[in-house]
Amino acid sequence: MKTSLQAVSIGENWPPKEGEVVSFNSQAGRRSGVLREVRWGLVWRDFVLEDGRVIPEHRIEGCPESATWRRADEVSQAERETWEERLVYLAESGVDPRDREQTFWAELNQYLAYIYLKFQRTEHESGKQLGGDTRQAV
Amino acid sequence: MSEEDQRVRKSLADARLVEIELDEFPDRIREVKQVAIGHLDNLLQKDAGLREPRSVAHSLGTLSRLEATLQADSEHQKSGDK
Repeated sequence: MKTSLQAVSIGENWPPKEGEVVSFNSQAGRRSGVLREVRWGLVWRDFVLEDGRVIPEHRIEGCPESATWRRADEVSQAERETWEERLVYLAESGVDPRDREQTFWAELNQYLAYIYLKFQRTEHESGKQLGGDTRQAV
Repeated sequence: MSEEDQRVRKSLADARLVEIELDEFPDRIREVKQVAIGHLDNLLQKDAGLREPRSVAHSLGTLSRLEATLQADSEHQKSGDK
């Protein structure tokens, strides 16, 4: 018999499949929802729930510590620019300042992480090429 | 997980960019802008051509627009709460 809702055992069969119930911790406590889609962001994967909430993979219960992240240099300039245009559009369309699980905040979090890694990394690498840089390595 | 992956994750965690709370976004945007400005400054000093500085400047412009929009929203929200 095929069931649409299946509980996810911690550490098994990662990532969960669409239609499975996933749990995560938020500021309001432990929450759960039905997984609609897993999609890559600029750095990590986001879990999109049926009700539209977007939760980063590392906040989902059972996420292995070794969950893969993208390298900053895997993101093309075109992808970054598309992401930037979308963020500005979402921001200017109006965001809910109390709903942390809204798409906009999830995408903004990833964008800030990506830009930090991209530009800090480049600085660090160019410092190494120049033979010395006292900035913190990333 | 490779050492490189671990270093990247620690770097992001140290910069408090993995789990940003709602009230922390303005500060994080400001800090990431500073990183981008530092990188742009470095590129300009190295005379790195036009393409990359232009790309960094574009990202800086995005960060500034987001910062301004969120600030305006926040002020609007505060005035609405009164």
